[in-house]
Amino acid sequence: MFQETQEMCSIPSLDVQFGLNDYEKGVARWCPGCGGHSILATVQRVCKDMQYPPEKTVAVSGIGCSSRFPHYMGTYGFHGLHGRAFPVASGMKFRRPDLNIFVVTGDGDCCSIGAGHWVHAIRYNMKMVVLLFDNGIYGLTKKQTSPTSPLGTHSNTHPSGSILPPINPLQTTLGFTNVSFLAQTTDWNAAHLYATIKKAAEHPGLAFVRIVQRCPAFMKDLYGDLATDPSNMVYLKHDNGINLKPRAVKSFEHIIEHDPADINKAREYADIQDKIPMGLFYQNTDRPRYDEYGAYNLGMSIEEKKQGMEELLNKYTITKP
Amino acid sequence: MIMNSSTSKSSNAIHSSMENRYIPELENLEPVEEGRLDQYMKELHDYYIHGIKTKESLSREVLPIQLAAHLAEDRSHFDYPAYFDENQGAILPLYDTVDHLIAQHFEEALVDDFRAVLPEVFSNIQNSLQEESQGLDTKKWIEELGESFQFLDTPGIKEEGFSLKIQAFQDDLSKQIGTLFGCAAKSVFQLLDLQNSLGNTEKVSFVKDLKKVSTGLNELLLLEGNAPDLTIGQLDFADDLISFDKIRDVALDTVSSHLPESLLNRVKWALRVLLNAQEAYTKTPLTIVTSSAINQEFNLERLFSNAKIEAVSENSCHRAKVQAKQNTKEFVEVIAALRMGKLLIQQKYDEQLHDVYFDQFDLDHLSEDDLRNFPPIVLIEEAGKLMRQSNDLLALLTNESFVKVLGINTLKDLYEINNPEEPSYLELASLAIFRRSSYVFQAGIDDPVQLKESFQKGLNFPGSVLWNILVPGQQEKAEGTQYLELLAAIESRYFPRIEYVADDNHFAFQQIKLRKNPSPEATFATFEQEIKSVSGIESKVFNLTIADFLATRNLHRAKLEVVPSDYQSTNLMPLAEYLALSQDMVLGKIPFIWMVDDQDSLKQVAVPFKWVQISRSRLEYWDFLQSIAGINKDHLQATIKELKLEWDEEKNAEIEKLKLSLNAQFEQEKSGILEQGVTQMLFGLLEGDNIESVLTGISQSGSQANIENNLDQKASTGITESQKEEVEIPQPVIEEAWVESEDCTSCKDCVVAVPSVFKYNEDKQAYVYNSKGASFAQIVAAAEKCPARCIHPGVPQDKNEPALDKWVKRAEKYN
Repeated sequence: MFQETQEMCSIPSLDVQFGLNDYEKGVARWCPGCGGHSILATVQRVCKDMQYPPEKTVAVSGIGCSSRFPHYMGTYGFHGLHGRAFPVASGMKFRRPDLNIFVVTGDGDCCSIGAGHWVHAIRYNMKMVVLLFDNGIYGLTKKQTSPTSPLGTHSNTHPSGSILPPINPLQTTLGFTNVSFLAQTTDWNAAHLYATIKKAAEHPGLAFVRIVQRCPAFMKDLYGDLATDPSNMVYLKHDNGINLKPRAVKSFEHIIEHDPADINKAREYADIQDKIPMGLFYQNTDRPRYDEYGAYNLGMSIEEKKQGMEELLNKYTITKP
Repeated sequence: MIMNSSTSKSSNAIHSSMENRYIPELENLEPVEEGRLDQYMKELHDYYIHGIKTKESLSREVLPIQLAAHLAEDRSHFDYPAYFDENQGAILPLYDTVDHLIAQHFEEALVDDFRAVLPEVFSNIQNSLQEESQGLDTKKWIEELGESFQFLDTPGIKEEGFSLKIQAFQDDLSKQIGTLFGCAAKSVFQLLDLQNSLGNTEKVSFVKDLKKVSTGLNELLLLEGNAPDLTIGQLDFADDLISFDKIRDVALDTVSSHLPESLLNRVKWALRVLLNAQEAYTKTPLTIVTSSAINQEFNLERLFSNAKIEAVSENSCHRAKVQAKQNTKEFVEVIAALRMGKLLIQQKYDEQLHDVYFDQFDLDHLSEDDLRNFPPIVLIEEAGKLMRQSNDLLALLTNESFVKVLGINTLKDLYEINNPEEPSYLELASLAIFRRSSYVFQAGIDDPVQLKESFQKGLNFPGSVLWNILVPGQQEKAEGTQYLELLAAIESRYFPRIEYVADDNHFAFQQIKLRKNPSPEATFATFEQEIKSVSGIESKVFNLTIADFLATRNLHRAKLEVVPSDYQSTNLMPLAEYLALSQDMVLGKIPFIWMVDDQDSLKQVAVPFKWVQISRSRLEYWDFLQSIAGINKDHLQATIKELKLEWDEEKNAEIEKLKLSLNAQFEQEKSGILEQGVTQMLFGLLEGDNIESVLTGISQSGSQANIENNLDQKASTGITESQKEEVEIPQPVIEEAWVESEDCTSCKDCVVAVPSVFKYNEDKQAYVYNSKGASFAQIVAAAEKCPARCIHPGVPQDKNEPALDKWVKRAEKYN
């Protein structure tokens, strides 16, 4: 019912042009140089280019540095419980399929305390954009090891270096049932970041984007070198993937041709350790979506609902033997 | 499936055994002497002109061949009665189903005996279906059928448990059989009613749409305003569960109305219209306008289960027009309310635009999909009366009337050949075709499957419709042959089958369909019949002429002159051949058709002039139909020929002209070159060169210029190649600091660290707005911090800065 609006309305609509400032709010209180600024600006630009009405857009987050995100968006927002960004967003989408939803979550929020919800959000495949701000450290609580901190990371919880190998969010997501969109990008390549989030916003289903993010305060070492040396980046190129302008492609020294329909190759490339593969790993637009199931009866009349309820109850009528 | 005439023959062949085959005989008598023959031919000529029978005429009863064969082989039960099978959603012949069930339930030995009973049972059913008002009790005849099986003398029947078998057969049969249709006028209305009640999914979804929007508006009113009283009932279902009244009282008092008064009134209006429409469209979707004569004759009110019937004594077309106007107005209002409701529910409604859009909301704003939901209005009227109100009728057949006209033609009307008025109503269909916006269907009740399909098409057609249907009259007491009479009327081209679907995308002749007629490309349909002659049994092809049709009726047959078999003359000519010749070629000839007498022998039967006249007029119309349907392309070929001639002439003239001008040009050039050669030669001789060099000079003067051109080109390409190599020189350092804004990640580093130099643009990406705003050292530090490495410090603007060398060196990496 909500999709048919444009064709049915023959009243000419006023041309509403939303500008970047319609999506801005307050002053972002992240450290200077934090990757969060870059992602915030890019999401706002994508919103502007997609002309999402601010009142029909929601940013949902859990807890963490990244999760301050909704405060800086001029849209609706939900700064939720730790690890529970996914359930909140799923609930919204289930009954309000007309909203555009961005889920902002961090490596701690998503991969640690919220990992259980992560599995099912991917499986539900409701249309939303999930941005995993992965800086490999707990920043808000001042430097503790996170599930994605590389082996040997010195932190307050592991002063002599972490001892467990980290989770690879790409491999993990590809392993979940009904995954439909997985991409990776970095906060410091503006063109690629923009193109990836745009592609994610256009995807019909849950688009999971891992953003490799620098933390200049606590993890200077982690992506510092990788970021400064462009030879560490690998661009996954394909017509169906993230398409960049030729000038932006030039900044990559390594380019791999990868068809996002191929999940096995995607798994292979997701395992690249010494470099950062950037691009669309996997996309399948035909996966079932739980939000379509949830929304199908939104336009039902009371009579129909009542009748449906009656039918359901009648099924369980107990008759005397 | 119900068979049309050609296929029914094959099914008959399966059912009827060899002994039952009807084979008329062609007598071979010695011809009479010539004097008597001449005398007879003179008398026959009198008969042809004045219709007075000769003394020699045989007083035997004759029948058209097809009718005789039909009666002899008793084929009456194969196509009718038919019934509607709800499971398959199709019309099926009853005989096939019963036959199939017999084969399924009983042993092989019994099947043939049982089949023998069927014809009688079926003709009983057919007769009771024909009768005026009495409906047929399905249960009763199924019981009777079972009983008639039990009275048979076949040995197996006395066995134990046989009655159980009969019972099972009867149960199966009654499960399958739905409404029965006989070969009667009533069936047309029954089929129309059936098709209308089957409806289409679109209409169901339209009512659903109405419901959805009206409940949506209701909810809106509950939330935003005071709900009108009529909606309160909708919450009753919750009363048993909770004390809803109390909650509602509390809730409504605290919610104040957010809608302004004017909008509230409009919402209430829309809701009222939608609720009314909902009721109206679920209850009586069909409006019927008819004449009181038809209403009385066919008792329409009993036949239509779900219709509003309005009978008027005269001017039925006008009445339908008025009704249509009223219905259209109501419908437009409903759609307007629906649109407004949808907009309101989606929160797209803009009150300021309301007047602009909804004030002038009329028929033009409706889409084709909307129009499909228009509740149909059907005008049922005799075709002759329709023709008499032709002005009003034509107004009904326009784009914007949406009245579906059902013209009824009875066999009785068709047999009225002595009516001085030209039976122009036979051409009603072509009148409608020439309006170009209607769906037109002309056929008989002989094929209920086709008829049902056309009702489906017509009822869903977003525009006007004309069905022109041939039926046996209600009052006509049947000879049991109406079905065959109908077929003869249609297939003899007297009342041909026509279908036309108005469609902007095709030429008119592609839309007119005659292919449901037997051999539509020919003037006459033909049929084959085995006959016995001197040389044995052979198959002969007969033409089905209009005289064959007219002769199906007793009244007309009495006037025919049966030529005695011994009067053989070359002046006697089959009617089909007679009609094919021009009038002066048939002088002195008498047309005849073949018929069969009561002793199954073939007779030549002379046809009166009046019949020939009628045949001519109907065939002319048929020929006309063929040409507008693109079957008969004579006119097209003639036009093409004409155009080709014209074109040839034109082109020939052009060729001649071109030849002349080319010749002139050639002569001119020739003399020019000669002149040039001669002058050059003269000059050469005067200047003392030898003749050979002069001659080569003349021949090479053209090619030399080419060589020079080539050289020029080569030189120029050489230059461009050397330019290409130069492209890759290193670009000079831009002196002022600058940012590649497109690469900026908006990380805020630079704009926080050196706000006097860097600022964000409207895309929130950094740019240098004042390169002299800070020290070179600060700019270089910012460049080093930039994660996207898109800051280029340039060269120091202030040469007196301390430790400049160090900074310039560090800046090199980023420039």
